[in-house]
Amino acid sequence: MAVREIDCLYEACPVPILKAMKELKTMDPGDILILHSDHSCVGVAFNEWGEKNNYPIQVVEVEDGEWEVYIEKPK
Amino acid sequence: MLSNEMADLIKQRERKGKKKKSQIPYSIGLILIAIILFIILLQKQYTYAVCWILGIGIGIVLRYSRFCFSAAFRDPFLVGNTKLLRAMLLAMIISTIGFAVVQHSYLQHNPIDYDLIPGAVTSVGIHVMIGAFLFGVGMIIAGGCGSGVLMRIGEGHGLQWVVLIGFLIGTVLGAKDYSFWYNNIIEKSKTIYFPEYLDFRIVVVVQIAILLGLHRLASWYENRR
Repeated sequence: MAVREIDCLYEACPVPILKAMKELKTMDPGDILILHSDHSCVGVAFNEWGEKNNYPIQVVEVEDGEWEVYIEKPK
Repeated sequence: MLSNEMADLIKQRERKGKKKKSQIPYSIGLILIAIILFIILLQKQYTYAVCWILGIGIGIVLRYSRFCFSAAFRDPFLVGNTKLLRAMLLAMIISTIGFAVVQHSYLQHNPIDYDLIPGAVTSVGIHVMIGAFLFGVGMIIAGGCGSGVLMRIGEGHGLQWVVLIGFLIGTVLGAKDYSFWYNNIIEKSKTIYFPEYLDFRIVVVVQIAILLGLHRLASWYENRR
């Protein structure tokens, strides 16, 4: 299991999801992607997107106004 | 379902001992300021007081519903999600009914005058398309439309302050060049107000039917992807 991180701080709404989609394509099943973001819409957007595409997703607010999104590539 | 590996990873990375600062004192302060302003406005300018409360209400609804006009038009293409688009269509159906009531009661006692009918009845033409296209490109790059940008500034985003400055510059430039657009396009284009040509009830029913059709189309599009 590999863990990768991408930095999406200061990126506005559609960019984090697009970056994650691009990164997930190059990853192996079972790998985990951690996405850093300070955009408040990211949590909702990722949860909806994950539910639809069957990606397990967990959003953690690490600080006030800063989130980490954990995405696992399904096996 | 979360796998064990992911749950472990989250636990591992959890920053221990770092507590989030409570923001409740700030909110109490802001609520007090809002109430004081409301009371002051109530004594001087009744309309401003009403607008103040309505504005705060709209801001709260926008923030908690994550209602974003740019996402409504962007997500169907980018991630195939039409939830916000459908929400917007529903809002348009509701406002159609609301404006129908307002305009119908106005038209029963008054003649049709585009400038006086409640709601913005303006000309339609190529200028609408140009403006909509420019606005669409801008709002996707900026990450929010007018209301979205204001809501995010209130939320504490720094980037949107830059967008707001751009917004102000654009508005000033638009006002400066308005005569160009007016003389070349807007003056020549026609204002079409459907109740002039058809019975008011038919217009409302047809508009709601079209919006419902678009709503259906949006959910079909989402399920197909």
